[in-house]
Amino acid sequence: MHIPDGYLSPSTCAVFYGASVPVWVTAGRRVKKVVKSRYVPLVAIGAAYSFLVMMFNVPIPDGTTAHAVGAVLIAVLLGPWAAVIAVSIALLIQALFFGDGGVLAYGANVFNMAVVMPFVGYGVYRALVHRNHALTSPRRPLGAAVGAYVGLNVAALCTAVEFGLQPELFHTANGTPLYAPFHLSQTIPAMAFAHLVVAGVVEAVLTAGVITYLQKANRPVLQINQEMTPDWEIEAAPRRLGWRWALIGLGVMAGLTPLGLIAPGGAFGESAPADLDLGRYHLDAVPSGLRHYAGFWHNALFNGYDFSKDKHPAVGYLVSAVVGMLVIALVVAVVFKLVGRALRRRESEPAATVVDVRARSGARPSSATPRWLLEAEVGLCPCGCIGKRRKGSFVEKTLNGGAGVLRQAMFSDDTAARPGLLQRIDPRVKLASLLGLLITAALVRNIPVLVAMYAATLGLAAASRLPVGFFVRRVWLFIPIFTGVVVLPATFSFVTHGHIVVPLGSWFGHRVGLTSQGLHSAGLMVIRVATSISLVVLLTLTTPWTKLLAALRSLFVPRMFILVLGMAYRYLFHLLGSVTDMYTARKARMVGAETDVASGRAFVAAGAGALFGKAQALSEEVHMAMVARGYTGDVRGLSRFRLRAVDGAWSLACLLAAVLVIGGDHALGR
Amino acid sequence: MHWGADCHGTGGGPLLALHGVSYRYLDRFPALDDVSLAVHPQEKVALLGANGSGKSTLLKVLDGLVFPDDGVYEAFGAKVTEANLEDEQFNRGFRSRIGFVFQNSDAQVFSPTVREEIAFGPLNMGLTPAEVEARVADTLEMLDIADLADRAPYQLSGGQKKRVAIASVLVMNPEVLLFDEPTAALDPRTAEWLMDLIVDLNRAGKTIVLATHDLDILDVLADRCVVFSEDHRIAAEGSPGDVLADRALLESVNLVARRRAGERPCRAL
Repeated sequence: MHIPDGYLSPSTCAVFYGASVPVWVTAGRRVKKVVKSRYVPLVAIGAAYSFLVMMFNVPIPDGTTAHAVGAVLIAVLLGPWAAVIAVSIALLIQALFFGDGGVLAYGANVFNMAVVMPFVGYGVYRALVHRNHALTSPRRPLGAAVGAYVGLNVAALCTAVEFGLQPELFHTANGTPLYAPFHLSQTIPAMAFAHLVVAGVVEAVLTAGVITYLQKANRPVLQINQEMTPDWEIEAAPRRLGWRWALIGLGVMAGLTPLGLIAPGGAFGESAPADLDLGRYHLDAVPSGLRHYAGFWHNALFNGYDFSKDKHPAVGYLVSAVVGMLVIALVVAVVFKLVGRALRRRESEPAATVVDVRARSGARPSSATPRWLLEAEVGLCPCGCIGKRRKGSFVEKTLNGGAGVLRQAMFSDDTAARPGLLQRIDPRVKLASLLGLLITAALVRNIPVLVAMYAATLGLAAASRLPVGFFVRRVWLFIPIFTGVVVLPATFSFVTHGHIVVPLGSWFGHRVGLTSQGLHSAGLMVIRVATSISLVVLLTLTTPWTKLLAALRSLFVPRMFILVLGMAYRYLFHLLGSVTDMYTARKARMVGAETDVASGRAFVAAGAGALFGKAQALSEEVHMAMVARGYTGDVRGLSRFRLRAVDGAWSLACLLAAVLVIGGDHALGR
Repeated sequence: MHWGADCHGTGGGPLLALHGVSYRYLDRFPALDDVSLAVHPQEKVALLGANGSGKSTLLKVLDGLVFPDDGVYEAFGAKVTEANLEDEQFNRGFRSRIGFVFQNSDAQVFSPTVREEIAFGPLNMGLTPAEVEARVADTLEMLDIADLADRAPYQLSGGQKKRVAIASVLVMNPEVLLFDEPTAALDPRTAEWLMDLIVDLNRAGKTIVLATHDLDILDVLADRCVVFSEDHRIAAEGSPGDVLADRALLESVNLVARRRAGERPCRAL
């Protein structure tokens, strides 16, 4: 669900940044107010946890994998406002440090995964589970699972709508889409299917698994939210509303989501322009983009709904939305039934599955060693000649991914220490100029101009002594996997209507083939994504992350967020170590090869639960360590940046380049 | 930098004093039961006990991180309560005079870089950035970790993390230093270094309280031992020599294993 840069127009991105800022401000205030300083390490751990959960890949029938976000889980455990900050920070670490999800598109990603998802999911959870329900009530994991499922799917729906509106809003005169090329009638079913069938189930199972684990093993964790946000229900959650009403409200909300996206006054109207301070981020193009938006919507609204020719994706959208909601409702009902039945069956069985290890081993220090421990186990041979071997399981693959994260971080630290051009630039200046260049790239409409920009990033990589081969590979390995697959179908006349240049036959009397608009659009998108990713990778590889953190602090991000961000990054590595240890410990005790995917899945759910328990214990200790050194909730920092001539020259060069690019783009025609 | 002793406000009495302190986790699990203890200026006090006997909890009480359910804790002549610590003046005074080196360095080293980690405490004390920088530089020099200043904690070894954790406490120049299992999980050389450091700090006038179950370090690191029983009470107090000689006491609090009949001691105490 991570949207990379280049898929959304800069004005769309600005709208979502605008929508996210007031949410962040509120979340920051609430989190700070609610339980003062104790919250900070907890939220940081939540962020690290969300990052890790997004790494827990689970196999699905068709051979690919899906991952959960963990937003609803964090909302249930720590409260929805904490989830906003935690997931936002996980996404920021991914975008800035690991190139996963765009920097310009960060606002949109936050809106979908860090705002919509936790609030929708938590709303559903609260509607299903009342505060008076016991902590161990089976309703809690059930409600959390339903909330997670619904939350993820609503988030996916938002993503689909954001994609689907792009070709309607942003295209050239001859119909070439400038950004994501698919229409609502295509994006919604595609996203809805993947998330209803696969990712939603993964999210629900993981969430329920963790809550169930905590009910058994670590109940205090479940009390955190109850103790910390006592006023939550009074302020925001509907009281004594049945779950039917919650679902109806949800349906209305989901239906209205695109309205919120399109309404010109929406996000900007909510917060004062002075607070947003868009000029600082070089977002001067926003008003025209908004006018564009507004104009489009009026046309669509008053030109009527043209059902016959399927020209209006709004119809497709509405139909898909209704179908989607029906499917969600159906699945929710079925899940309810099945889980309810399973729970009833469980309750009737004796609870012999849980073994209290401590009770067994600790209490009898002087007991005789059991005989079997002194004898060799017959039939098992250490050489592995008995039984069949299989290559690493998916859990192992996930952990290799974890090792990759570590390697990548180390590699970035190495390259950032080299003496090169970009390493010499002040990180604040670098960050600001990167944002400017990203927006410039997003505004360009001619392929040659973008090719020139991409070439310039290669030049910068060489001047910064980065291994250019690695640099190119890192960018282009990503593109065929995601963008290529996504964009290819868009070249066909089914998706992008227009002048057919490569005819492929006919279909019910219509000529079918690749259209010039489709090809142009695909080319534009691929090169734009490549340029955007290159720019971010340039920043990541030439700036030590601690400096980047400091740059964020001195630019515009509040200290509290920076503190959480820094700690989250720090604990990411710590928790990664714990995950690896847990897996190694399990592997050491396993007999035979990992043949059973289901047991792997159970390990992931239980592991995620144990991890949360560990993370929470760690956060308590960290908080004490902070308090012991005089921390009372205010964050102070050392600011040690001084601008030099080279920074001025670099800023000027970037400005000049941006002007040249935009000018050249205009000269080539739009 | 000078590390002078500076104990005003106590009028010659103990620096830290616990009177009948009890503490229960989650109001259910007892960790301390009616514990009274006095720590005098420039003393080295070792808290001894088996795992789970309450040593770490006692250190947390002494550092004002958890507060007794019953009993009174006085430090530097003033009562330490949750309400008192809300007061900024009191908080700063108290926090800057007591430093706590945690057992788990991973919990204590939470900042993005070593330099920021060490600067965290003095910044909270309200020193100016220039003063903080000077102090951080001195501390890095003193603990011989200047080359780690801009490294991230995840790149450090266990021993290096311990040094950073200690630096982050010493930089605040506290009068009293609390150590929880200082030598646990350190290699022999680093453990040796740390023991020397603690002795040097004590000679420079610092008061030391440490929790341990490592009996080998007591001769060097303690003037006085306080032994905890497994029911979370103080079982005995005395000099390291007296305590280590009392085999029955150590067995009764499960610090050493009971000898079986006919078996010879594997370790001379």
